[in-house]
Amino acid sequence: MDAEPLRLSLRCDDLGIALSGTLDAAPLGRRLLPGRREPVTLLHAKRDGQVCFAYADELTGVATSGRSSGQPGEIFAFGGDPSGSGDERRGQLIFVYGPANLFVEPFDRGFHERSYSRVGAIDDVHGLARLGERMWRHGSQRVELELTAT
Amino acid sequence: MSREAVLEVPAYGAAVGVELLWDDAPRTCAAIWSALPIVKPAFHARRSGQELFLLADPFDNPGPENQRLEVAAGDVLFAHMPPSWTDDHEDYTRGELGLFDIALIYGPDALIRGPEAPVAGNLFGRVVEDLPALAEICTRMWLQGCENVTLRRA
Repeated sequence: MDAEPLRLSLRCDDLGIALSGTLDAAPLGRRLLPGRREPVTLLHAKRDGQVCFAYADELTGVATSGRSSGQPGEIFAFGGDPSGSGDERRGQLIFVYGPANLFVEPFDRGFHERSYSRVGAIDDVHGLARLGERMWRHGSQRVELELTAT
Repeated sequence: MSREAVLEVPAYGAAVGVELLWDDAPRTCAAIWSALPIVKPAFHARRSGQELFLLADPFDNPGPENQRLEVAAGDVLFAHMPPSWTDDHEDYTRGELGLFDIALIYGPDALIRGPEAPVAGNLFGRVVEDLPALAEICTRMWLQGCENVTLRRA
């Protein structure tokens, strides 16, 4: 049976930004479950362009494929890099906030694209862009992430 | 008179020496030297990996010289971003002269990237001291936000 989509909300009180969207849980094999509500750290990508991400340990090890770039507002899953070290091995939930993005392997391996799985979208693309641009200048942010059943 | 440079990050109380590569990149060193001091906010790269960069006011463009696509920790490079490139910086005006990008590479996971492809930069300097401490500051700026830096004559 396919898992039901989830509603996702992301609230950053420090910046006064609240976003919501939909997560399609099916491709994730029910790894993300409704009821989760917790503060997470949202980080800006160093290599992928106009992208921010949060570590999601439920996603560690999940196989992802399909897309090496995204449209603004799209959410992707990445299962982590088993050949990396430390946090690089952890799963990630990835938010594309602008058009200038390309998902790439660490550059010490050369210049190679890598693929993530599209798992959802944020409704307010402009709000997400505002959050991403602010994060690029002002650094990581603590946000409240909540998943609810639809 | 010494013709070396110093990179300062006042918010972190840091100052490191930068050896200018006058023999390998004389035009670029001369252009940068004439533009010093440069005081600008430094941004952590969002598509170039372990790189910190600042956008200087336009100076005499030295053109391609001692160019590198592969970069190493401690390299300091100049890259001119032409105005024809798609602009994904909301609050920068490229104008007719483009962007004058000075990049500091602080780790092995780095490749200078423009909006669409990797970019060769003019290698004109190298950090000659305290690179691990500077790399730690660059990581903190990724986590905590950009800060002003000063590139000045030693």
